[in-house]
Amino acid sequence: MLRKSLLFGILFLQFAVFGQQKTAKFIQFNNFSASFEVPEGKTWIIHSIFSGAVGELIKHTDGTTSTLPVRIFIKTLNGDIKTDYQGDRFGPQVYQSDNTAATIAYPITLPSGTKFSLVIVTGNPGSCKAYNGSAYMSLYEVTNQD
Amino acid sequence: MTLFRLYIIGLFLFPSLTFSQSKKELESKVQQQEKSIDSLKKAIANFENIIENRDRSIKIMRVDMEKYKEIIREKNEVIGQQRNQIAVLKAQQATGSAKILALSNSRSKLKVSPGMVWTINQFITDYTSEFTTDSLGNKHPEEIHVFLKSINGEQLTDITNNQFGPKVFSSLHPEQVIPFPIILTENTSFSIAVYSGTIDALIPYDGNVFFSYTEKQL
Repeated sequence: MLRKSLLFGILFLQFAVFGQQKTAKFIQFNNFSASFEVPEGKTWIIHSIFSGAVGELIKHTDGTTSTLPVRIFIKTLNGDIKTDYQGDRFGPQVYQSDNTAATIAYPITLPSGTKFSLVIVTGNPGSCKAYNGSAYMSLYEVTNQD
Repeated sequence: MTLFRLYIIGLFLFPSLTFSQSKKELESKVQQQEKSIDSLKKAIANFENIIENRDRSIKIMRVDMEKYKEIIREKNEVIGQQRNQIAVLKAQQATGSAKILALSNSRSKLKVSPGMVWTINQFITDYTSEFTTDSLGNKHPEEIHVFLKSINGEQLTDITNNQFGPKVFSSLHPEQVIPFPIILTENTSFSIAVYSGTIDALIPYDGNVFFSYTEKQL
């Protein structure tokens, strides 16, 4: 009887665990550190990836000024090359400073073991170059339930 | 004479007859008592056996009781751990408390408190600082921009060097604002810079920026 009561109590508590553990992460990266892997048993829910507002400020001879945006693309996903901006190949865009709506939809959910890398560039497709500044990624790391 | 003889014989015979009768009765009683004693001995042996069994049961129950006490202690420990886990999960699932702060160029630095997570929902400030009039007499609103000036000590915006960090508010071009929400972990520090004007001629703007966020425990 005692054992049954205890067992019931434990089971009740376990059912009462209504959510999965999640940890907030705020990751700074640049073009040299933009490779990531979702840890085993975890899921990443990326809420935001962002970088600078202006990649380059160009002053024209007529006195006007224009800007080049900062863009972030998915470079590789699970070993599959998505972006090679020098070869004019562009994968999913996750940030564009002058039009932040021109990205894939957030949140981005990645299952455990997913490997991906990002590349930060300035300019427009066809005339991009590497961006030297930092970028940031904010996400929740959720512990998978068995 | 004959009668006298008979009387004498009778006197001798009667006691011997009654004696033999009493002896038989006594022997019978002794036998019964012996049987009773045997029965009692068996009953005592039985009771001793019962007591012995009960003692053994009590010993076993005492051992079991100690085992159950240990099980209860272990289960209480597990329940305690589960309760802690539930408390952590409740805190994690909670929306947190919504807050709004008035920031400006003179009050631009913030830091996430230890043990807390901030979810930045948005930065809000004015639509325009002033209107400029062009040579044709058309009025144009001056745009207001809010940039992240630094994160964790790293400078992101320095307009004198044409360095423009993440834009968190743009009154005329909301499409240039980085996506929200942004989740900041404990001890993350950041500062903002507020400007008005065009990108090549920004000047500090002295209005307030309302910073909307939710704060919750890790």
